[in-house]
Amino acid sequence: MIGLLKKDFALLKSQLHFYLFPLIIMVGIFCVFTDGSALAAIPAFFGLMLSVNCFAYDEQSHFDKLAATMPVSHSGMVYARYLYGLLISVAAAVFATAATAVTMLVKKLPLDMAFLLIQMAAGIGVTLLIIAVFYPLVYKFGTQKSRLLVVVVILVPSFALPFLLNKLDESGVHLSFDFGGNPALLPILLVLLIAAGVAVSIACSLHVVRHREY
Amino acid sequence: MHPVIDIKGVSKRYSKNPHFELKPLDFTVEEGTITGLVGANGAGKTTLIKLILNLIRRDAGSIQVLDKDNIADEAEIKQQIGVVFDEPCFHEILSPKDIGGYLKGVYRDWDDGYYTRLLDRFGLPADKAFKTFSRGMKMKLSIAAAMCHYPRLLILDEPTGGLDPLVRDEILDLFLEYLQEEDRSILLSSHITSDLDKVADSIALIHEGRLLFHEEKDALRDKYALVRCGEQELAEINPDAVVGVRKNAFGAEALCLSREIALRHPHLTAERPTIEEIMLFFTKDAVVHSAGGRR
Repeated sequence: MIGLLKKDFALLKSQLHFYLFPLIIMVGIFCVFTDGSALAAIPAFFGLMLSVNCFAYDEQSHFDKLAATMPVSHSGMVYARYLYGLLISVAAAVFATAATAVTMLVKKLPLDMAFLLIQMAAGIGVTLLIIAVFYPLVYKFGTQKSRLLVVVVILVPSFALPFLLNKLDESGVHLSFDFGGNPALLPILLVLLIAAGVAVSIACSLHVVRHREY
Repeated sequence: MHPVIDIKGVSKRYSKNPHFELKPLDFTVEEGTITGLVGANGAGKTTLIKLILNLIRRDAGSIQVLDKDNIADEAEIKQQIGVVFDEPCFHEILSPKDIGGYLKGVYRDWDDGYYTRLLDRFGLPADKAFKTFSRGMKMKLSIAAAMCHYPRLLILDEPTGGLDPLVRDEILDLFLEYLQEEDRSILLSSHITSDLDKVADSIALIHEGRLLFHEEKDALRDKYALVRCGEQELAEINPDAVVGVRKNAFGAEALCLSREIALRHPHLTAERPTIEEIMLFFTKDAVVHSAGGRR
C-alpha cells in the first residue's frame, strides 16, 4: 500500500506545475473579489481533479495490470487510493483556510477562528463525499464514463435539494437542525454521515476490484 | 529438480469469446531452468500466464507457484516473482528514479543499488521521463524493475518483441546471468523462437488452447529431423514417423522422427530442425499426418 501511495504522490509531483497557474488565478480572484471564504471550494475542486488524474494516468499506462502482479492486496490498492484522496483533501483544505485567513488579515476583516475551522472541516467533508461518489464509479466504468456520471450525480442533487427544500418550506414544512436545542449534534451527525458514506464507497470499490479480470 | 510452477487440469473459457477455450492442461516449470512458451497469436500463451498470476480466474484445476497455492498465498508468491508484459506498464510522466522509489515500497527485498547498476548498465537516464524512452529502453527498464527484488521466478510475456537484435542479445545475456543462482527460474513466452533456441532449456507449444508438447529443447530438436525429398521418397517413409509435410514446386519438406530417418532412410538429406520449424509443422494446416506429436 505504501508503494502505491508513493506512486500517486510521485505522479502529483510530476504534474504539480500544471496546477499552479489555475490555483494562483483561483486564489487571486477569490481573494480580491470576496472575503476569501469562497476559497472553501478549492479542496473539492483539486481533490476531485487530482484524484481523476491518478486514475487516468493508471488507465493510460495499464498500470492496474502490473499492480495486480505485485504483492499488494486488492484492499491495499483501494485503501491507498482513498488515503491519497483524504490526504489531498486535508492539504487542500488547510491551504484554502490559510489563504482565507491571509485574505481576511490583508483586508482588515475580523478573523473568526471558529469560522475558519468550520470552513476547513466543511472543505474536507465535501471533498470526501465527492470522492465517495466518484471512486466506485471510476473503478467500475473507467475515468471517461465516470466523469460524465459524476457530473450527473453531483449536479442533480445540487439543484434538486434546494428546490425540494423550497417546496417543503412553501407547503409549511419547516426543517429544523437544532435537534431540540442541541445544535452541536449537527456536526457530529454530518461526520458520521460522511464516514458512513466513505465506508460504503470503499466497500463498493473493493467489490469491483476483487471481481476485476485483467 | 522440482517444479516452481505446477499446473494441473487448468482450463479457462471467456464468456465474451466462445471461440477460444484453454482446454484442461498440465504444465510445469522446473526450478533453475528457462522454459520457453511458444504458439501462434491467440493460442493461449497469455491466458496461461494470466492464470498463473491470478489476473483471470480459472474454471477448473489447480496452480501451485513456488510450492504455494497461487490464490491462497498470492501476496507471498508475488513478493518472489517478477513480471514483464509485452507492453511496458509504467506511467509516461515518471522517471526511472520515481519508479524505483515506489517499487521500493512494494517489494520487501528491493535493492536500490542493484537497480541503479542496471540502469547504468542499460544506459537508462534515471531522471528522464519514461515517455522519452525508445521501445528498447522501455523494455530494459521493465526488465530491470522486475529483477531488482531478486525474484525466484521471472515471468516474461513477449519481452523482446519489436526490439533490435543488439538489444535482444543484451536482454538474453541478462537472463542467463540471472539464472546463475540455482533457485531461480524463468518462464519466457515468445514468438522469437531464435531467442528460445539460444537460451531456453525446454520448450512448450500451445496451439488452439491445448498443450501439444513440453520437452527439453535439445532432446526435442534431436527427436525430429527436417527431411527434404521428392514425393516418391516421401511416400516411402513410414507415415507414423511423419509429423507434418509441406509441399512445394521442388518436392516436399517433412518433419519426421529422426531415429526412423537415420535407420531406414540414411540417404535422405536430413537437418536438425529449429524450434520455429518444429512449431510450424506441428501447427500449420498443411500438416497431413499426426505421428510423433500430441494432437
